[in-house]
Amino acid sequence: MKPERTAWRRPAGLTAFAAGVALVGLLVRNPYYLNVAIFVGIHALVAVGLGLLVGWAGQISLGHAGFYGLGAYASAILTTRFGLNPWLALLLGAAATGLVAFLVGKPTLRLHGHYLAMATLGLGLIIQIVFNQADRWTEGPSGITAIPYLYLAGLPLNTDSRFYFLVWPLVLVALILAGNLTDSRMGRALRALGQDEGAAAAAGVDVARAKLGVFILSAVFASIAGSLYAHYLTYVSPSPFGFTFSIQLVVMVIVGGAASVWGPLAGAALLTVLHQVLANAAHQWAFLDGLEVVAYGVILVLFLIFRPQGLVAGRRAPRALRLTRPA
Amino acid sequence: MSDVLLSVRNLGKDFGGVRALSGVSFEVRAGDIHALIGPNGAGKTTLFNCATGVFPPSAGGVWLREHRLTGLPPHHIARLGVARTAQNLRPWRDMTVLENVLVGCHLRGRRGLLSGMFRFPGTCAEEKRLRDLALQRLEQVHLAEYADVRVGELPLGQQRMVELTRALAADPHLLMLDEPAAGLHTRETQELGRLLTSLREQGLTILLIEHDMSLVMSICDRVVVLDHGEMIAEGTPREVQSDRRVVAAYLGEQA
Repeated sequence: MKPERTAWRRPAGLTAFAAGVALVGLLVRNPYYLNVAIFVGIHALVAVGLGLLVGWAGQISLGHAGFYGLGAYASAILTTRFGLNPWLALLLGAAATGLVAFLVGKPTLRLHGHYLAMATLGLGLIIQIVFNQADRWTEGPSGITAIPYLYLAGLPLNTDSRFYFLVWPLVLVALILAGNLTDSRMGRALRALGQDEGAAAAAGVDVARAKLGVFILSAVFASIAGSLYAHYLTYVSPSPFGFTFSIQLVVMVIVGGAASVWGPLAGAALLTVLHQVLANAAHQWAFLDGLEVVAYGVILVLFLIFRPQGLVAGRRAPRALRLTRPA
Repeated sequence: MSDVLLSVRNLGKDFGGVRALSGVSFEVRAGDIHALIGPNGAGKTTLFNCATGVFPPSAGGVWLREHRLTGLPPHHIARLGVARTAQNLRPWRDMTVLENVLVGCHLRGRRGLLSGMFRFPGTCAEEKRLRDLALQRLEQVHLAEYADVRVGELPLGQQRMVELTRALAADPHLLMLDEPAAGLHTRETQELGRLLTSLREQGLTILLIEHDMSLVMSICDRVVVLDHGEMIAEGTPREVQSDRRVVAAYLGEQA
């Protein structure tokens, strides 16, 4: 039957992607490049989750850096203070972050319009303030150090190379999960409500519930990425989890292309590399310092004007209209 | 007295100071094609919106058998077996024909977000069942060959057909159509008429808003006429056609 084709075109792309990931991991020895690649992967995990919310449900979150931070701090605190197993800490952090997303999303997602953007903007700011102020738990601005490494099969993930081979397979898993969701009952319902809430509700879709579900999901993705961040750097402080990073994440998703599962990954790669380039440039020429945010703004505006669908367009590019009429 | 499926009782709706509906009461019998007609601005779509939970009425209510529809959210009303299409075409244009109908099948599946992601056991079986159902529906309306085409790429007449098929895919008790023939040419309108009568033969109840009088007169069992938010006539197409107030409302005559 014809329709089966669209549903399973992905394995070829995913296989090629997996091979590419493995090649980069095996061939690249330069620690700086590996470091950038790991950050691309961590950011991609957040962006893929956020892409489900932005690209399908048509909602914007301006607080995803907060969820990312909650995961990072949950892992940091639970492992350093309570000596919890890092994997268990990661799961508890994800659960707690999901709960926070539920509490914020439940009242706001029942409303039409972009109230979620407002609520998450506030939430993100509050979370960062808590990281700074609750120094009994978070050590304040100086941050938490000596976070233990993750272990996999008895092997500490204490080198860039090892960590790379944790992060990127997880990115692959995230892409598979997001792709699965695209072709599922709830995935279709989400895409439908992103285009027309009223029509989706008339078809029996519980719009508020579906949006809440995908919002929680995207927060959990961010939290898991945050936990990985904490165990990779073995150090967390409040500054990376602020509003600027929330904006960066949204830019990743939109510039990459929210309608495609691959888009946020492309956006994460572009923005993360760009961040490095700009940071290096600012190191050499002091006057460039602080212009990074301006660069994001310019990029976002240029994309919205010239390529609103993002780097990677949706997987259903416009096709020539078939003019034959049915019998 | 045959079996009543939908009853509208003393329905009223005000928008600020504007009275869009007042004191409208009528019943739709199970297995009938029932038309709702009237000049522009008569309150027909407002009545649909009140009945499907888009907004609450200011007075009265709508019942599907013993269930009060008014006050329920739209997806609950859909779950009770009411499907509708909208006046301005609203299929999901960026999704394929098949996907549109699959969303119409939403209530016939149960799998949630996590099942969809992790493909828990049974997810694929359900997906296959829904796909078969949707394809079967598309075959009935001769759209199966367009299953993979994005709806936005189809001509208007077929887009309407997709929307109708999507509504039917939920297997509703009551189908509410808001101007299904708008924008269709004569031959398409005739096909639509044939489809609706064959659906009635299968036991479906249909309430439709329509301006195409030849369609209304040829397929409908009962007609309700609204004007300025009030019901001015009800009866068989023949009775309504000869009603003095209806003629006045349509032609602007001083009755």
